Amino acid sequence: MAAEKLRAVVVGCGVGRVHAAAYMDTDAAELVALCDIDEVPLNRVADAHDIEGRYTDFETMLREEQPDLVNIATAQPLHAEMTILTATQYTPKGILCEKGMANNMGEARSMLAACDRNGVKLAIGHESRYLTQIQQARELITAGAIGAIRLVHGWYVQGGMMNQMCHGCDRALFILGDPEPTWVMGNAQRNSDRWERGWPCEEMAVGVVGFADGSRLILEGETPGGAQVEQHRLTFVGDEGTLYVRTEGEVRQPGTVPDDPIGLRIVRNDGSAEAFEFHNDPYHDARRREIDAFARWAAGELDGHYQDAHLCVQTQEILMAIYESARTHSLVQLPLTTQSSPLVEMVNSGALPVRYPGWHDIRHGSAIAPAKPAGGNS
Amino acid sequence: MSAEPLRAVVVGGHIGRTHAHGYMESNRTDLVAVCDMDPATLEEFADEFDVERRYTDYETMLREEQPDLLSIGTPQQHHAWMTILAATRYAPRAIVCEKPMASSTGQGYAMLAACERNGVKLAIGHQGRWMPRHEQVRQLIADGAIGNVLTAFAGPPKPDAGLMNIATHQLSYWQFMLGDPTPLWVLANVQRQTDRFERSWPAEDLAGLLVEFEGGVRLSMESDTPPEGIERDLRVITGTEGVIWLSGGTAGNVIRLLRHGGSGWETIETSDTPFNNARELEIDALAAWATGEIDEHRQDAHLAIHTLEILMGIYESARTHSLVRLPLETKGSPLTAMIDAGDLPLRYPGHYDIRHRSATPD
Repeated sequence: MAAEKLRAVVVGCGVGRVHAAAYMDTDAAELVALCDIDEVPLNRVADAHDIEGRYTDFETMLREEQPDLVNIATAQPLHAEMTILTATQYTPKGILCEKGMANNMGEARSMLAACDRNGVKLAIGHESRYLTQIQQARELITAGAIGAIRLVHGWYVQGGMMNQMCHGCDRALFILGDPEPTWVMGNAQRNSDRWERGWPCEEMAVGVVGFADGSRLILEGETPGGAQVEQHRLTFVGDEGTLYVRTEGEVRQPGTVPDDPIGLRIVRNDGSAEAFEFHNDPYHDARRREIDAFARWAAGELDGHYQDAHLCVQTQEILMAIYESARTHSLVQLPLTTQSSPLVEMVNSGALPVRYPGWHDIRHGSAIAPAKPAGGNS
Repeated sequence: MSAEPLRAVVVGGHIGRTHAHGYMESNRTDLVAVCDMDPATLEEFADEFDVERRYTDYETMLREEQPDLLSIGTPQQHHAWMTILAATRYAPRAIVCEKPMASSTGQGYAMLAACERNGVKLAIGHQGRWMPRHEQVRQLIADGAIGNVLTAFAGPPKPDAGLMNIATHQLSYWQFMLGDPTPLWVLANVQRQTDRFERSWPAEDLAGLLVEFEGGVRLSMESDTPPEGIERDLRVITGTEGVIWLSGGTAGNVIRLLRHGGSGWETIETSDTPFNNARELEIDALAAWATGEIDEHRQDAHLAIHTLEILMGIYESARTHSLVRLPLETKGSPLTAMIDAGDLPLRYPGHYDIRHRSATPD
């Protein structure tokens, strides 16, 4: 413990600003440098935390700083290349790579192999594994509080299953105790030329995940909302009770969805209902715990990290399997044999023709300024 | 009703036997003739119910008997033409046609139109709507026992089920239990890697589907997915105020209910009504509906057309890789369209029929 603080660097000053802020709250590591190809966000985040090391080239930063910890907070298409480069050429003690883990299974498995061979610990940015309520949900479920789980259901909006639904899938797996999924049956729609940060993205998707014990996880991404579903709510149905897990507040239609707290509501065998509220446990606190545990794991102080890529890779496997099920019109057994992205394969082969042409990126859409009214007398 | 019994006829000597049994049991009806194109089946069928008037030709039977009630117990690909022929040329008072209603929604709507224009009442053979357990669940939900229904789940019902064979029954129960809400959309996928048929009509190897009904209830259902570890025909309904569990297939008669804030799990046993008793209720109600004694039949084809919309919506969602809104624009069978277009190539060649397979002695 009293050893030197680990030297940490962050690349990508978009979501990386949250990683940088979290490093300010741990005494296990010191943030020594930041990198972004765009100097504007780079200087903004570096100024905020008074960081001197500033780079616009990732490999220059790695070479000059020789960091112990590398946080990769770039867009999904770059994760595999940057993780593998870092692990094989600069072998830090740990890498924390943002979600979605990779573009496809080939990349994800290469990331694991590169880190394993070089003794680098790899975690994926599913920080909600460090939300107190999610950990309590896992304790309840794995202690059998609602009996054997038969069914889990979750519904996600906000742009692409690799973007949001991956968090829901990962949370569900974590709460279940990280069981290995056996098969996936699903479908995906892409009628418009939709992208998310430079990578093709479906418009909506559904997946049913089967586990060895016969239980099912049903994931919906961007299906029409209807009156009875809610973003960020996972419902666990056990043979002795039900657990509702709600991680964020959303505007609800009164009288439709249950009046769940932000937190947990459990209905037990005897019909008693109990609510656990977690209003004071926001995501950035989870991120702080994530980063602190990451540094201590890399230092050998902790034996494991909840976000170990060997666990989180199951989410990648499930999401790719939803695309693969769509591509092959079949129930897909895991682990997947197809290494490339079945979504990209479908887009390239013409299996998902664009009905409504026009390239659009959902991350840009929200950044575009409103158009000025046409006409006008200037 | 002390009026003359209605004159009933049955075509199809396999499932038609359960219809014949229903007509024998009802005091509103007389079974006057039966038909099967296979003479041996016909003889066995007619002998069993002691019916003298026997036909191997369907239209000859209709012309000579001019029946009040007609049961069509043939395979699905014959449902549309046999219903439309009977309704337009011989206008019985009512027809009950076996499930699935038809092989496409185009056929289904043509059946509805032919019957409506000719004043013929049309019911579809989803007799599971008469099972006490389903009636009880419908009542529990209507009474708010579990609050607003959020999601419903149905696991694989039995091996070699098939969407058009067993899932059509299941979907019909679901509609019934939920109070017959209109289905809004379907997002689904199907697999057909073997050359599988069901009574000579192409069937999928397996399917998974999500359907949303009016009011927001979402039903996630599976057909022929891996059965390992999951209770047979497990059905779970989650609501804002409780949860209902059913299992055990059509033989099951137990409902498990957990009300939030209640006193623990309640087990409700309903009377154990076999499928054939449901058929008796179905046939008796058909006769009462035909004479105007009752205004509605719970198997009215206007409800079954929604079942057919969902079934075809599953295939259409797979075909177009899209969420499909109902009613469908595509009026043909998207399954046969996919097969014809080569979208579902056979990985394991060899024609087989699941009806033949299940007839093989163990």
